[in-house]
Amino acid sequence: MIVAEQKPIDELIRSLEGFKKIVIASCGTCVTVCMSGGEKEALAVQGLLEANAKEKGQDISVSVVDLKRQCDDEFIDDLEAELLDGDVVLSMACGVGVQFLAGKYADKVVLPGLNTTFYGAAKELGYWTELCAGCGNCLLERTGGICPIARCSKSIFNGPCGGSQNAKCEIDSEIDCAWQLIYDKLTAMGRLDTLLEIHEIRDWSTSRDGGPRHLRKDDVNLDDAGK
Amino acid sequence: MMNALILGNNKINAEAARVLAESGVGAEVLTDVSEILKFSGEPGGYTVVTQDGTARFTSVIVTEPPRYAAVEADGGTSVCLADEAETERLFDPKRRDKILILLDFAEETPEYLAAKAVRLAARLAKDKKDVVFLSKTVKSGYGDGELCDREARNAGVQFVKYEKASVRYDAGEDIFCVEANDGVFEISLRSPFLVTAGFEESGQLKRIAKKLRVRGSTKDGINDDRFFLYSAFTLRRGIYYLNPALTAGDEKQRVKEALQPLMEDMASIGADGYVREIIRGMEIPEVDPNKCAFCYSCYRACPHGALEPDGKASAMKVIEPLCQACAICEAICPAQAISRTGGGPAPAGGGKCKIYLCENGAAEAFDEILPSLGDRGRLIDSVRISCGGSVGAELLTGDFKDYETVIVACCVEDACRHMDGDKRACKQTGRVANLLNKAGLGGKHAHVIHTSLAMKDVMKEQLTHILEESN
Repeated sequence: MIVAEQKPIDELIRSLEGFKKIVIASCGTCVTVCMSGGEKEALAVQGLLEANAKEKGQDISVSVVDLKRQCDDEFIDDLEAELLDGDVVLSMACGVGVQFLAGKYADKVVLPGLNTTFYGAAKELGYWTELCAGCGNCLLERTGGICPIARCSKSIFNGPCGGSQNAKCEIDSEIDCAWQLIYDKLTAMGRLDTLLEIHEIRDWSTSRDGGPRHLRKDDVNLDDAGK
Repeated sequence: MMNALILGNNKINAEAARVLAESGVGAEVLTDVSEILKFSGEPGGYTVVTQDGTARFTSVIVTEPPRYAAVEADGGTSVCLADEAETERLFDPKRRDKILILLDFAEETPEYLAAKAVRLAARLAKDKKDVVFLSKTVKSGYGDGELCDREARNAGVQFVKYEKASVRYDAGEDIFCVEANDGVFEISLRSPFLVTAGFEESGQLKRIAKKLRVRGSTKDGINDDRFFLYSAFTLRRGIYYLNPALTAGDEKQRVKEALQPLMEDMASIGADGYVREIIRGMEIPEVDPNKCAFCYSCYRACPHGALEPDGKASAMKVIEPLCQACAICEAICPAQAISRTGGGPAPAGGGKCKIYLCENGAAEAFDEILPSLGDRGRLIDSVRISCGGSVGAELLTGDFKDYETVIVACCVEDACRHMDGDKRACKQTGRVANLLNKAGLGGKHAHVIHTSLAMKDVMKEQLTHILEESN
């Protein structure tokens, strides 16, 4: 899932300076699960904004709209009246949700409430770790299910580098060396010979280097003209 | 008809099954937890699926003993307390060397091993051995603990309380060198005989804990050392941990004694009083399947293993007989999907300070000290909560519209009967205090008070101090 963390509250207060009627839009999917932008977090921000305004003697109103998903029209349409009932929307979604809202309403000020951080998973309750870089050309079949792009600090393809010590990365002793993990996993699976295969120079056009990406599924999206 | 699954590799299993049968409780034994493919259900009806089929048990008794491995230092291996054959060798009449018993070394020694150590020390001293007993803490809370301590002292055991210790093994002389420091003095001891509790190698016990979803004070361990619970009770109802080493006497007697409170509790399963008695009027939370993000956060956080996935609804659901209404799930749930039907905070009363009171001790303590707070007491609006862990940041931040100061009064460290409610209260309050600062609300304060019924005076002092400070 997409993992994000809340922007510092002082940054949010600065960016909302001058707005009288604030609508906070939470998002009920990834950012809810990673405890950064769900309804509960939105309520916490609401409480702080209101207390801050009261302290400064400002008269503002802050409401929370709990959207199931901010990246699909239909969910937003259902709550459109509440969502647009203010001067500004503070979107507590990932960067996708913020842009989706901003794009949907041409004249609406939509501000981000979160910093979108990575694609990852909860390793344990309240602890998430990056696992995928979304490069568009998965190579996990060759690396024992461990991604060297996302999990090696240098994203190297024929590792480990000289900085790997005691199975840890040189940039941070808390980070596991991805290439050690790959080696251990391939050994455990009895597929260490996979490493003998040399990785060719990679075509990065499937990743960010190819510009913004689109995906059209022809059998579902029948708009041939859109090609 | 009551029946129990005895789970674990322990020589006492047959004896335990016999004792249970005598009381009309049928028992089956399973020594290897990996044979359990699926475990689900609730007290009175736990379902255990193995390759042989599906069986239902009213309760589960874990008998897997914790395993302790000796401490190794520079190639020398200590005598492990848990290893009875090894400890018997210390009585060799030909060896007159000093014997060092070192507890709390690799990790804090559990009480039942400390008891074993004191008994061993007394026996050795009576056998004219020179025994030095080093420990960081004194544990004499078990059954005849104080008597054992006195007996050991009278027999001539020298007790040393230390803060830090290091062990070195001299291979040439085959001797252990122990350096201990009590914060002021250093002592150096040398002996070929070093007895330690060792360190826990609880691989199998951890696997059992994971399969049965039993939480413990150590991560993934089984709870058998929390003073507020009878030692055989785990946090998940209907699942018990039988460790006969906790009691004295011969083995048959010990098994019988250890099983006694379990059987009493088993008999109460299914009776109406079982749930209500424990949760003291707090409401059991409900999950709204329409809001549930099915993220498993509550499932992971619940100290009582009282939530399980409802595949059909694509949402979690509360297993009522397991729930102890601590509402930690409510505080954890990121989707606001969990709430209690009746309970919840009281409305604002117009005071300057709001205090959340954990019902485990803080609430009663507060009621007793309130009259003595005089006029200050009128500034405080109080709300009873089930546990300090049930308070989330969104609840506290919401309060600062109306209050200058918000306090969460929870249990002292390690006293929370929901395991980590006090730590959660601390973290949430700390997070809110931090947010208040960053939001430019330096005049508003979020505090946590650790208290108990026995700490009324301390609580009063802290409250008075906080109220004075916020004025």
